[in-house]
Parts: sequence; structure tokens; C-alpha cells
Amino acid sequence: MIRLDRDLRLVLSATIVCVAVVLAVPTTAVRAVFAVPLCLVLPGYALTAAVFARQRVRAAQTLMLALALSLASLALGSLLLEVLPGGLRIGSWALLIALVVLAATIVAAVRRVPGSAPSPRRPPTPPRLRDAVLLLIGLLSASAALVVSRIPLPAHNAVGYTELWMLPHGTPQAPAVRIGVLSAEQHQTTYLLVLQAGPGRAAIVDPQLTLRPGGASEFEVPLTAAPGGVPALVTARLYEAGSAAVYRHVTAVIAPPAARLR
Amino acid sequence: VPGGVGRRGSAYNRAVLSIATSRLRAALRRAGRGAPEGQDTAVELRLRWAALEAEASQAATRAAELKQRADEAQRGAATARGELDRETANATRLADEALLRLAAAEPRAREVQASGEQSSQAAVEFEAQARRHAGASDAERTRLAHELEQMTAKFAEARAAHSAAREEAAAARAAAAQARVAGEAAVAQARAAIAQARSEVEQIIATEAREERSGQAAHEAAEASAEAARRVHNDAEAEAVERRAQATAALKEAEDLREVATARAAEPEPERRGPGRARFPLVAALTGVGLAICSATDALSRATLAPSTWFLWAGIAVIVAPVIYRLCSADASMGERIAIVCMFGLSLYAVKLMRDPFGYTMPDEFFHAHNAQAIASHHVLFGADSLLPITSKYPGLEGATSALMSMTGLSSFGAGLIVVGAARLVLMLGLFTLFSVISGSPRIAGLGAAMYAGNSNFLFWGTQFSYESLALPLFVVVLAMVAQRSTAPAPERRAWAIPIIAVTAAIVVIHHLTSYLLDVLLIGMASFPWLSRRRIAGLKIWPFALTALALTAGWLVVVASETVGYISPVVTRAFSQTIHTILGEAAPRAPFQASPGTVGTPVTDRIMAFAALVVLLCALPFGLLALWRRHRSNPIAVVLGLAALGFFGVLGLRLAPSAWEIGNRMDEFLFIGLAFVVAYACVDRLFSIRRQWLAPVIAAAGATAVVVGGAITGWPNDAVLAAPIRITAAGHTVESETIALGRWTGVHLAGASFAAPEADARTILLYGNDRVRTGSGVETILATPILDAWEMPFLHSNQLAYAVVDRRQRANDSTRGYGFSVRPPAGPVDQSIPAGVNAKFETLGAPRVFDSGDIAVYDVHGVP
Repeated sequence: MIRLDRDLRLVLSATIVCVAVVLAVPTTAVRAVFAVPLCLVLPGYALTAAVFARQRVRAAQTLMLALALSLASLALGSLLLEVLPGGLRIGSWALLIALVVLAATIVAAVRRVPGSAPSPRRPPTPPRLRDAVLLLIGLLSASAALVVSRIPLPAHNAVGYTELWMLPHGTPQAPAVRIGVLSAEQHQTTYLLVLQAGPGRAAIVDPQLTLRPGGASEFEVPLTAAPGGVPALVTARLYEAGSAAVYRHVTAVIAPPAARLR
Repeated sequence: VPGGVGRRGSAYNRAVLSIATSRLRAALRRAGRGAPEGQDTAVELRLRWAALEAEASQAATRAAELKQRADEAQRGAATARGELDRETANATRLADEALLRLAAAEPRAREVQASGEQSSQAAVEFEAQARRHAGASDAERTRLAHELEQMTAKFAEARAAHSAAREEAAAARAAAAQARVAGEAAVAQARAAIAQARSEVEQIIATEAREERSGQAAHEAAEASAEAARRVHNDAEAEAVERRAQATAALKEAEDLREVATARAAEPEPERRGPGRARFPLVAALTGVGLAICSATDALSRATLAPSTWFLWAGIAVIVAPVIYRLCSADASMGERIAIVCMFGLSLYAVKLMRDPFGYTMPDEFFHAHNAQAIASHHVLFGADSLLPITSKYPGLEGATSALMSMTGLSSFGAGLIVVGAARLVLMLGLFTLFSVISGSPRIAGLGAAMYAGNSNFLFWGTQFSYESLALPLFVVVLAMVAQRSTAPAPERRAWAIPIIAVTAAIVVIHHLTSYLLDVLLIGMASFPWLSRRRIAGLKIWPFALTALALTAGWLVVVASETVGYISPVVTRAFSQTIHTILGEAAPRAPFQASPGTVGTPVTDRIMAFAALVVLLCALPFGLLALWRRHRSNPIAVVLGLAALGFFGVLGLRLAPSAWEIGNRMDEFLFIGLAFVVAYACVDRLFSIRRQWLAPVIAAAGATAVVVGGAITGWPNDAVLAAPIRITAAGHTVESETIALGRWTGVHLAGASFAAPEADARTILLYGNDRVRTGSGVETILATPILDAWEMPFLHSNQLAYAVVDRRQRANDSTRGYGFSVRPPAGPVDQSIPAGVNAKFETLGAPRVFDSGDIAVYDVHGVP
């Protein structure tokens, strides 16, 4: 009967829990909380315990080895999974890590001699009030710094832009184009979208296309077959409201039997 | 001595008898003259007296003989007692003989006594006769009576002497009896011993008989017992070995502690300002404040308010200075130092996170993120990376990241940040362990690990999601493990082999250059004893060096043979450019040179960068001297010292245009040694100044200059702060034009292939997940207004269906090309490529399928 020390029992239990949560819970944030130790700590710790079962390793070295061996296990494990039928999928990763942890834990339990298990640490003494306040300040400041960095801010000196794109659509018998407009301007903008197929008259697709920043709009415009069976050049032009200058323009070549505006 | 007394008594008796005889003769002569009638009687008495005298003499002679015999018996008894153990029987026999002789002598002695008594009676009768017959003169008779009394006394003495002789004979008899008893006891003991021996012999014979009867069973039982005994012995031996190992480890730990204590004692102690209480909370609070300053500066930059980079440097100074100040203190515990060093490394990593909070913006990150996405999507390694194919041949980083992506559902960006963060933690712990093992001083270890932040790539380049960001920490871990192994007791060294080989193998599949450097380093360290004629100790790491070499060569041949074609041109070009620069045939590269359309490094920043170099240069000789004095026989310390020298050696490569990148990459490795040397210089020299309170202040100021100066050297000044990648406009979030292009290609042209400038190509690769090509050739096609004859065939031969024309020169900058265009004062207006490039494609009739103002995408696959 193999006798598991407290730390090995903890590692094994944590692995089982983490694998279960990762496989069963769909929420990314919850899975991340359990997957990070499962991938980056537990395999390395179990391997460290197995390799150094008969000698004491300092806590800092244990942490270093646990992280390094976990990363090495993932890097080398990916090669192993590459040659196995399942490939690099969540199930095979979970199984691989669980097997590594289990095997290393058993080896550690077998090889360990009494007294070589890491002794349970004393519970940390609660910090003094001043230290607690200082730690809180540090933690809050760092957290606030990271949170603030994730907030998009107004940037009035940034130059906005508008995307206009057009791609052929439909079939040769029923040709069409898809036109898209996306506004990344600094303010709400109104456009005039005009489409011209071949040398013919231009047609207004949307006389007053108003988009807020980040807003987008798509149009599918059907075309009629052009006589003669020659390729037709279709041009879409975008004007800013109140301006006669072409703001954006795109083109498409519609293969024969193509097309003029229906 | 009874014999002596006896002999003296006999002579005395004879003398007395002769005197008595002469006196009797004289008395007879006088009596003859006085009484003729008694003459005949006197003659008769004389004859009787002579007869008595002869009998007395004979008795004395016999007594002497008896005494002599008793003496001989006593000597025999003594001899018997002395030789009792060996000749007990002989002693008994001699004692018996002595007893027999004594028994024979006793009757004779009694006869002599009886004859003496008879002689006395005869003398009394002679006196009476003499009184009766002589009586002529009373005086004469009185005198004769007196003489007779004297003679009687003499006879009494003779009797006493006989009695003494008899007592002596009795004593001899008793001694003989004791000797006999002792002899009998000895005989009894001998008989008992013989009986016991006989019984034992009988028992042995009986046991042998039983054993013979028990036969094979007894033999097997004996073998089982022997086996059990052997097992017990082995267990005991193993336990003894373990105990010995534990004792050795304890001894080693004690020696380490002693060394640390010795080192601490040797170090000049700075002034103690407190009771040794942990200052980690204060340092953590100041680190938080520093991060807040950095975050605020980046926020202002993202808001296009053009803050000065000195706000960022100030924030970093708030992080660095307290850390160094505290690490200089002698009263910080090892745990506190480790915590501070880890927090320091992660906080500087957070500076990079705050610069790029929304996505990857550093040049190499796009390749590796694309590879990780491909692995997570297709569940296989070695997918094609069109921009930098070699990255897919070293899938260690992407494999680890894809594991995290699969397990968490995070994007490649989120998973990559976690993996690189873990690598950063490993780097700091590895540096601390490495320096701690070599120096034996936690203070030097902490300072060295913190000083490594002065490496020019530590703040930005080294934190990007790139294979080297993971390989370098593992490289340091291998060094730390080799160092730890070299100081471990012999029984414990074997245990280090597995992690060393495992991490080495991981490095081989993560990054080519790091694995090559590791091979060179391990072989060099293994060769040191031979090269130095045994002046440098051997680490006995040939097996590891050869294993690493075999793994690297195997991977290069079997999987990543393209590496040779990838690296050799870079090295060749760097070598030739360096030669040309040295010979004056090519202009040297100017440091801090700004590329067209970008802002150059301000003078103040350049001064800071040079100040950092000066600080390092000043510390170098002191650190090397200290290292030489204390660790010149340690091969790892020698390597670190050589690396410190090498750092200044490769600085010259920064002046050669094509060698700049190699010099920049080498910094990360060489600075490991320089950080250690500078930390040694700090502890060895700086703390010996008279005003000790000043030492940590100077160290903190110097380290801040080194860290800030290194960051200035390693990263373009105008790319230090966050770029406006994602902003809000009228309350809505929008992304930059380059990012939007990448997303659009992913949605509407999935699977297509593009020719694009550097920055656009990277966003198309990552966000569009499309095949893309950039660099020389493509850059010419997309930036020149004239269509050369080779251009369209080039695009067709490379199966590039779409050409991305970006009017901004910034688009060809893989470092700066991802943010919004800005207008002053946020930055300079983007410079444009020559006009007419768009017209070139429109003239050819290539449909313009996308237009976002600066960027246009042309469909060229149908264009002849």
C-alpha cells in the first residue's frame, strides 16, 4: 500500500478537481482559474517531488522547478500528442497532464523516505495593520493600473477612417455585388453611397447612410447581365454628406455574362 | 625456619654434651682420687654415659634427617602448589609421600623422645648414685648438681626443640593436606571439565545428527534466514546511505549557511535602520504606485495626449529604486528577497502589459500567436507560417500556449500573456538561484537578479510572446540546476540529471539560437578543466553537454533543417557588414538613429543610456576582481565573468548595420554575467565606503539609471508608450485601420493570399489567418509607382491574389505600424509612400476591393 504524504494528496486532489472543472465547465473565466495551475504548476510539482523524493529542496527552488518542469512538460507533451491519434485537443491534454501527475505522484510516494516530505509550513502570521494597509495599497494600485490600461479612451488626435469594400456576389446568371461600409470616424457620419456598373449611369445605393463610430452597414446589389458578354467594371463610391469629393471608392470586375444595374 | 632451628639445636646439643662429658670426666677423676671403690662404678657409668651420648647423637642425627625430609616434603608441596594446574596428580603423590615419610618419622621421634626421657632418668639416677657414692666433698657435689641442672635444662631445651620440630612437621602435614585437598579439587574440576566437554561433544554430535536429519529444509531455512539477513543488511545499508546523505545534506546546508554567514561577515554591513522587520509591504506599495504612474502615462499616450516618456521612466524609477534599496539591506531575509525579486520581475512585465493591453503589437508576437491559434484550431503542430516559416519548426512555446488555450478557452493573446508571465517568474527565480548558489550570498543573488533588468531587452523585447521569451528563462534554469548539482553531495547529483535533460530537451524544441548557445556553454564549461590545466574545477557535465548536442543536432536534421538557411544569411551578412564597417567601406550605424517618419531619441534619453553604460563600466573591474578572488576555480563563475566582458565586446556590433540585431539578441545572454559581476562590485566595494547609509542610495540610483538606460537602448523612443490601437469615439469603441484590415480579410477573404507591408501583413496573418508575404520584393512592388516587368510574375509565382497598398510609410515598420494615425501634437503626421502606387494597380485594371483611406486592397489574381 502506497502512503501518500500530505502534499502529494493535495496535488492529486487538485489535479482531479481541475481536470473535472476544465472538462465540465464552459465558462472561460472559471476554466482559466483551474487550468492555469493544472498546466503550469501541478505537473512540475509532481515531477519535482518524484525526482527529489529523497532530498530536501528549498521552497524557492521548488517553485522554480515546478514552473520550469511544467512548461517543459507542456512543450514536450505537445510533441507526444502530435504523434498520438487524438492530437492536441482538450481531452488529450487533460489526460496527458493527469497521467503525468499521477505517475509522478506514485513515483514520489514510493521513493520518499520518512521525513523527507516537505514539512507543513507554519501558518503565516497575520501582517500588522500598517503592513496590511501597505500591501492593500500596492495591490489596489497595481490592479487599478492594469484595469485602467484595458479601458479604451477617447483619442481626439487620432485620425478616424471609413472602410468601403465591395466583392462580387451571386452567380454568373444572377450577378450581384456586396458592398460594406464601416465607420471608424471620431463622430457620427452621414454618407452617400453610389454604385456604377460599366459606363452607364450611377445609381444611388443609399442616399443618407448614417453610421456611428464603429457602426457598419452592408448592401447586396443585384446586377443585370450586360449585352455582348464582356466583363463589366462595377464601381462603388462613397461621399461624405455635403461633400462632392469622393471619399472612398472600390471596384469589382463582374465576369461575363455580367452586368449592369438592374 | 624449622630446619634451620633443628640444625642449630643439634649442634648446640652436641656442644653441651661435649662440655658435660668433659666435666663428668673431671668429676670422675676427682671422684677417683677421693673414692677408689667407686672407680669401677664411675667407669661403668662412664661407659653408660658414652652409650647414652651415642644414642643421643644418633637421635639428633635422625631428627636432622627427619627435618631435612620435612623440608623436602615442604618444597615438594610448594612445587605441587605452583604446578597444581599442570601436575595436580604429581603434587598429590608428593604430598602422599611426604605424609608417609612424616608418618614414618613420627614413631622415631617418639622413640628419640622416649630415649631422651630415659637418659634423663638415668642422669637422675646417676646423680643419686653420685651423691651416694661420691659424697666426699659437698661443694663438689653441689657443683656437680648444678652442672646436672644445667644439663637437665639443656635436655629440656632439646625436648622443646623436638617439640618445635614436631610442630613443624605437623604444619608440613597440614600444608600437605591442603595441597592434597587442592589437588583433589583440581582433579575434580578437571574431571568436571572433561565431563562437560564430553557432554558438549555429545550435544554437538547430536545436533549434527539432527541437522543431518533436517537436511534440505534446514538448508533452505538457513538460506532464507541469510536472505532475510541480507535484506535487513541492505535496508540498513540503504538507510545508512540515506542517513549519511541527509547528514551530508545537513552538513552541506550548514556549510552553506556558514559560507553565507562568512560572506555576510566579510561584507561591510550597511547601517541598520530597523529591527530587521520585513519591508516587503512598503516595497510592494511603492511598486504599485510606480505601476500606476506607468499606467497613467500609457493611458495619456493612448488618448493621444503625447505625454513625455520621462513619466514612464519616473514610474519605473519608483519601482526600481525601492527594490534595489531594500535588496541592499543586510537584514532582509532570503524569503523577502525572493519575494521582492519575483515581484520586481512581474511588475516590469506588467509595464509591457499596460503598453499592449488589447493585443499583440510587437513584431514577432504575430507569428507565434498565429502558430498557437493554428495548433489550437487544427490540433496538430508544424502548421505553415507564411511570414516566418522557421517559427513553426520550433513549436514548444506555441504547444504550451495551445494547451492553455484548449483548457481555458482563452485567446492566443490571453494564454500567451500567462505563459510569458510564468516564464518571467521562472527567469527571476532562476537568476536568484544561480547567483545564490555561486556566490553563497542572498544579497548578491537578489541584487544580481534585479540588476538583470538593466538588460536592454528586459522591459520590452524580452517580454513579447516569442520563443526566446520562454527559452531564455529555461536556459537560466539549466545553468542554475548545473550549478546546484555541482555543489550537491555525490549521492544527490544523480537526481539533477532528469530535470536538466528534460529542460534542455524543451529548449531544443522551443528556440534554435538558445539551444545552440546552451550547447556551446555546456561544452565550454565541461572543457574548462582541460583548457585551464585543472586550475578550474570540473563540473562533470560531459554527459549533459553531449546529450544537449545530440538533441539539437537531431532536431536540426530531422525537423528543422530550414534553420540553417534562416540563420546563415543573417550571420554572414552581419559578419561582412562588420568587416566593411571596420575597414571603413561602409558607414557605421549611428546609435539612436530615427527611421524616416519617426521621432529620434531625445538628447536627455541618450544621456541616460550612456550613463547606464558608464555605471556598468565602472562596476565591471571591481566585480571582476572580486569574482577572480573568490570564484576563479568555479567554471560557472568564470563563464559569467567572461559574459560580462563579452557584453562590452559585442557593443561594437551595434555600430554595424546588419550586426545590430545579433548584438541586441546577445545582450540577453551576456547580461546574465554582467548583472552578477555588477552585484558583486556593489557588495564588495560600494558597501565599504565610510558613509554606509549612502551605499544603498548610490546603488538604487545607479540601478535605476541602468534599468532606464537599458530600456532606452533596447527599444525605440517613440514606441515606448502605448499606441492608440483601440479608442473610443462618441462613446463607441473602434480599432485602428491596420487591425481592422486584418479582421476584414479574415471575415471576407478567408483563405486568400496577400502581398502586404510589414505591419499589415502581420495583422492579416493573425486576425485574418490568411497566407501573406512581405519583405523585400513585396515592399518594392507595394511602394513604388512604376510597374516593373518582374512584379506581376512575382506575385503570380508566389500565388499572391491580393496586393495591399498602404500609403503610410509606417506600414512598413513592424514595431510602430499598428496604431491610429495621429495628428500633432500627438505625433508627427504619417509620411506617405510615393504617389502613384494605387494608380499603378488601377491602370492594370486590378479591382480595388477595399478602401479605408490609407489602405487599399487590389485583386491581382486575374491581372496579366
